[in-house]
Amino acid sequence: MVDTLQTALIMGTLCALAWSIMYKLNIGYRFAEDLTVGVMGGYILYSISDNTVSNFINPLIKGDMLSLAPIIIGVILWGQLLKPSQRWVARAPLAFITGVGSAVALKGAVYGNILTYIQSMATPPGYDPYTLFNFIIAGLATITSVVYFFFTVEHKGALLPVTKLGRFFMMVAFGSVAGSSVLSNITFIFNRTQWFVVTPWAWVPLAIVAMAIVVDLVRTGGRKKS
Amino acid sequence: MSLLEKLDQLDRRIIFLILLLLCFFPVLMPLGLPVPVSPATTSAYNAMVTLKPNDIICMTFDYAGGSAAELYPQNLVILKHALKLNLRAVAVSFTVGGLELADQCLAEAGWGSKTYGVDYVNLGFVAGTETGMAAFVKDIQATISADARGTPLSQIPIMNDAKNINSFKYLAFTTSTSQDMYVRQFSGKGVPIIGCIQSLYFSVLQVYMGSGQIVGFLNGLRGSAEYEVMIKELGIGAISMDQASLTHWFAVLLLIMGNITSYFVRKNPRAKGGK
Repeated sequence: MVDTLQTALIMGTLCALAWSIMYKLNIGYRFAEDLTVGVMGGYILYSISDNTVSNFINPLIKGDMLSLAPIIIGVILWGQLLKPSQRWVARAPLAFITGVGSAVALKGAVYGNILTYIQSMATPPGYDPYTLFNFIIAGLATITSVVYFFFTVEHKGALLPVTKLGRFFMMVAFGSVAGSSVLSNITFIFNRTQWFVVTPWAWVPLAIVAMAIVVDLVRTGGRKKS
Repeated sequence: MSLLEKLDQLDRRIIFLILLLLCFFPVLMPLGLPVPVSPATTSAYNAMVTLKPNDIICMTFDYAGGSAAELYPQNLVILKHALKLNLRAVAVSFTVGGLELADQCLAEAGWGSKTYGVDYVNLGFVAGTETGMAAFVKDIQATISADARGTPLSQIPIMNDAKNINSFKYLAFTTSTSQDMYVRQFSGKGVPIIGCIQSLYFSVLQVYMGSGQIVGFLNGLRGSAEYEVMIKELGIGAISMDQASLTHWFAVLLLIMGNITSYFVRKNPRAKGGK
């Protein structure tokens, strides 16, 4: 991407202002945050409008009367904004959309999320000791986790250690996801640091914000506001 | 105040500053740490190299700028590889934000040297999320009337060979959210499916790969670094791995330090101002 001086300074300023939250909440960060949200909202609005016009309005103008159906459904859906006594008009299109969406998801879910998993759990991927051990652990985790959600019978007696084991496996799984999430979030900063280094003049706004932080530190003595 | 107490009450701004410095350092002075390649990335790579010239691949761009740091390098490296292998590419987006990213990625990967409409196309945004995907799988031309530039699909030569999902020899979905709907709609159609995901969803896609619903996946920024190593063209991913190594080690150090200081401070109530 070719960055002009203007782009580098604007993007550098916004990024530096966004990063300033690491020091403390300030008006510069709020400005950057609100600008980002506003631009994103505007872009989404433009994209949806463009999509609606090109896929439905233009074909309708050219004589494709079938395009009228989604337009009518979409307009009636806005009935959600009417008074509570009049919102019932939006129920039908909402039900239609929900129904179609659920049917589409269910069609793929039976094979994709249920049958395939059952099949893969029933068949070991290999018979060497390491793979077999992993397969047994996976099977044990699956069964005990499913038993944990079996609420028809109280979890006591012989069922108690099984459900406890299931809860342990789920904690390990969620902990793994949480850990991955933390490490994944750190990566967002990598791209920006690379950009600051490779883009000419992008470091200028960062340096200015850093100097402002240093001045504030000296002025306040490094004390955080309670 | 003892050292342990000071560490327990360490100002988080110092931690942020160290983190920033650790991010900048490898960019200024690359460490060149080795990047071992995982089986998931190897599978994704092997699925691509088995394709013949002029085969069509499909790539979805279903993320916005916020997740681009982790997902964009994956798209970039796959598209670079596809260009090297003389394949054809179809880009599509089932979320609003991906439209522009697809154009940018195709240009940055070097597809500008190819002919738009003949060798590659950006089909733009398809509304309806999973419903849109289901329709796309069945019949592309019935789902999308024009590409991202407004050109009717009937006037785009590559689309003569891309009628439905079975026209593609390789499909890579890129998403910052749920992968379930992609697997539900795209898998089981005889097309190799590759996932380009954030590291957050690594364990989810491991399950899909184990069950055979997807062929392979790229695990976040690390996945793109591994793929760059495989195609012998180091880029953003490889640089980021040095940063990742330093910052992740720092995070582990903080974890250990936090647990140690917390244990000793709790053991010694006087440290907290108690009796």
